[in-house]
Amino acid sequence: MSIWRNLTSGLRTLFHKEEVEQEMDEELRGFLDAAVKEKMRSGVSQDEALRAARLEMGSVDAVKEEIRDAGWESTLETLWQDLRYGARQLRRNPGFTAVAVLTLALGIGANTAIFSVVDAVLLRPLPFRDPAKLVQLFETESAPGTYPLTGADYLDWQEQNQTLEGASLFAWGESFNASGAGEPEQAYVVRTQANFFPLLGVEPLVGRTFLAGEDQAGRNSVAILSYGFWQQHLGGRRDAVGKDLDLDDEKYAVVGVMPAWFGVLGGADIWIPMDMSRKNLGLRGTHQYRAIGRLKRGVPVAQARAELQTIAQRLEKQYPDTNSKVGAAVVPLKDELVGGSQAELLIMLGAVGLVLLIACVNVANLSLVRASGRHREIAVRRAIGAGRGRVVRQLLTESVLLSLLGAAFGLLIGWGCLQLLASAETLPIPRANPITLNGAVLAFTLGVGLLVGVLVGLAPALQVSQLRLNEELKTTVQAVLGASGRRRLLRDALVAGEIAISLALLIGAGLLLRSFAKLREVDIGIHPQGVLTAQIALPPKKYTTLEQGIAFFDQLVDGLKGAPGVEAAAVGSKLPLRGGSNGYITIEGEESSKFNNILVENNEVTADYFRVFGIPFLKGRNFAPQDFQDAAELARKVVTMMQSGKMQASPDLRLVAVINQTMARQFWRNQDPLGKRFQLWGMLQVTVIGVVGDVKEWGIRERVIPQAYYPLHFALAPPVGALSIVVKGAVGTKGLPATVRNQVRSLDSSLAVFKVLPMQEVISQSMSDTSYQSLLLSSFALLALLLTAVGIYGVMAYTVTQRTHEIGIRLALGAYPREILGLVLRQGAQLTLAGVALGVAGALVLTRFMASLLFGILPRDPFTFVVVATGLAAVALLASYIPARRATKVDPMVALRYE
Amino acid sequence: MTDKASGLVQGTLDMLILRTLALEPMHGYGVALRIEQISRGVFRVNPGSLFPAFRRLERAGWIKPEWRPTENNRRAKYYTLTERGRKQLKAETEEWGRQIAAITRIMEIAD
Repeated sequence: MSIWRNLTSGLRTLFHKEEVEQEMDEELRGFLDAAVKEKMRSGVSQDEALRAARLEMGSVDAVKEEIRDAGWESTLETLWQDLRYGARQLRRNPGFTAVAVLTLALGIGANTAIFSVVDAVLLRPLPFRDPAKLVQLFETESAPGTYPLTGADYLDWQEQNQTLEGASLFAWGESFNASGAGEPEQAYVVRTQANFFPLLGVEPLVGRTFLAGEDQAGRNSVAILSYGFWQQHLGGRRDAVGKDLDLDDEKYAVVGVMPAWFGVLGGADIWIPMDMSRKNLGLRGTHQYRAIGRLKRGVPVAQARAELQTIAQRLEKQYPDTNSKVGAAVVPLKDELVGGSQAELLIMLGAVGLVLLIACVNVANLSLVRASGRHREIAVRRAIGAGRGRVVRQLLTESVLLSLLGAAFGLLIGWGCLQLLASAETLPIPRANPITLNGAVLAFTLGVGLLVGVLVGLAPALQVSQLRLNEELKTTVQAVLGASGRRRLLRDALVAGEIAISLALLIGAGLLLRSFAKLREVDIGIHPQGVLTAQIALPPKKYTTLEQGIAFFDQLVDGLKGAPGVEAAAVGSKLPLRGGSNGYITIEGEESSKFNNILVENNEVTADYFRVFGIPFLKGRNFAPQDFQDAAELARKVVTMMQSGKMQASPDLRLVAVINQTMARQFWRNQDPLGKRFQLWGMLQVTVIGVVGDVKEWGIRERVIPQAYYPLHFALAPPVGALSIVVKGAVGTKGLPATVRNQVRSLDSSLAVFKVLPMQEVISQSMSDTSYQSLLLSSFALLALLLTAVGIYGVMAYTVTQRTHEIGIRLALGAYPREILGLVLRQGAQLTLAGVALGVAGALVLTRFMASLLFGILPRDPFTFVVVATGLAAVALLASYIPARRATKVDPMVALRYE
Repeated sequence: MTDKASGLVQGTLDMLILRTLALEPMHGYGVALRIEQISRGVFRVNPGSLFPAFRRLERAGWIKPEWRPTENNRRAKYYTLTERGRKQLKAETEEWGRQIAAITRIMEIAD
């Protein structure tokens, strides 16, 4: 009831202002009349009584102001007044307004962009049903880290566990030749257990997902398309669902299309069901699958982990040959997908936060300068009755108006940044959720805008609230010695702080840039110049025999070697830095576990692989033609054995290997490795015939691990996975892509060549995270530097203007321009020095948090600190030099007449 | 502000106004005069406090304004205590009594 009355009464005051004001006047007049009458009753004259009554009442306007303030509507009214007044003020100073709004917009825009990434990656839950219960399953080995699952182990886990509501196995993407009309297309296909999509809880855009039982042989010729593949190759037509699609010459019925956002867990062009029979999933001991699981209600991750660990231990006892030291790992899916980028994103968010802080300081400084010019205006306002709070509120309203304008433009800038991000093809950010300007981001931007408004307005408001009224009203001429000490102190502190923040950011960016340079200097072990790489996969339906594969690759390599512009050509199962398969070996004649069941890298290659990449031979010889024939023979024997189901070691299963230097050093430290033997997969006898230089296989940051190269023919028994064609051009890689495509087409026109990339590009891609981080942080740091330079310049220029009078007197009294220059520069230098000292201290603390992003240098790398601090100091001094120069040009006559 | 100078406890002004209006409807000066007279000059309420208080009480629904003609052919705003205001006064009076009694007990502790 009273709220209603409050509201209506307030509204009446707002909308029937004149009436309400009139009544108020009348009431107050009545009060005065009554008071006069009362006083006259005690015998004083009318004049006397009137005087006394007026004195008692005080200023009628002040009383009225207090009455107006009693209701809520006055707050609203004042706000509206302040806003209009503020807008007028901003319009009156278009220069100040433009600079301030632009500065804030840059700061807020960068924050909006980074926050929307953080929101999408870290804050929003994964776009699945009840995503907190989703986990990814791994196996563990004696070596640290997590490893892929073997199909057999997974089936046992699935059968025996009590903690998972469900689990789903899926493979890594395989390259298939997808044929529709025209050119064959390369499609990236992921095989999954039938329950994959329901387990995640995602619905298809069109059609359906896999049905239970479609992951059995004979029923699994169905396919689900990604949105991208559907759009690009099937024109996004709804009737594509229900039609057939040829994958490696096999027919699959398209049953559904996933929505555009669904691309997690590596993404894919097409999903097809995996044949989940134990026979198809491969031998225990071949770790080649991924799996997700959904925890039962109320089951914590640790409990599931413990249970699977128990099952793994049971399997270890049961199958000691393959499962020794094999354990289980359960990781929340979100950690697995985005955990790695958390530190990076938070650092970036921190960095843009600092940029915004600098922007705030700049605008606060500008506002301070402007507020100094408004001291008389404000003093007058206070003298005629505005309270201190009222004036502070007015100033804060102005700055919030300013910052909200900045936020509006910042939103535009942020939107632009996101468009850029969206167009970037390889973004080293996990994209589980689409990055958008959603409600959360808008709220964030609005919040930041308001906060910035208050921060920026605080400094001038603080200053004004300490204004000594009488002095302000009396002084008409600026004090000879410039601004009063306290005011200058505040501005100086702000500028020094700004230099400090900017220095910390620049050092952070410098460290990343240095890391990037260090990464580029890392010796990968190859000469990538002029090397082109491409991928090719032989469809197993068409290439059913070992001989067909051998014939194809022999002809391909021979054809490429003979092509014009080609210096050397080879085929291998691996590319440097891209990783690949590995296998367990046991060194002959060694009992210790250091030589038993050790994981080494496999790479099956043709002889010129080493020549193409310039990998040096340190010892022994390369593969000879006879070695390839022997390897083919061995592959044939292994295939026969697998078909008969009898797999066992035999002395006539022989193979030769070229090993890398690390392997030679690790297993035959003080011996000649040539002629030494080891056992591969527990059944093949391998003899070392050569030693080559180390090559980084898993990434620039990774250590080199033992690696063995085998003759390619050993790996050509169908089904053959994707292999890499590598070609060294006589002069660069120009023209090589066409050469490779033509060669392949001349052999089999239905085959697609894909991922055709110069080796240099492969290297760049493997550094994309660091290059991207350093690009981002450098942009922020440069923005910070620019803002800081502008800030220093602004303050110094203002100081010079303030001291024009003083400088004029000094010059008139005979000071040399050089001395004036020194006078101003000294002030700038003091600020810079204080800022740099503060900044170095801050950076020492802050850079520790980015240790995980750095490579090859320490977070407190002295070189970076010294260079960046010196550079920033130079920029700061330059920024104060310009106004200092201007000071020397002051004409004493003009200066003394000033004001 | 006279009321602050004479130490009128914050919030008691509203109660004093309600109590005064409980006698009869009055205009602003009447209330001020009555409070001053009854308190024997201890409390002097100036218009800068009095009228905002009227607005507050009016909005709370405890008093009701009414324009009445005065003897010299003008009109004056008289305030009347409403039923709700009477209840509020009763509640505030009881609360005040409790507080005074409590304060008195504390102040009477023998040293």
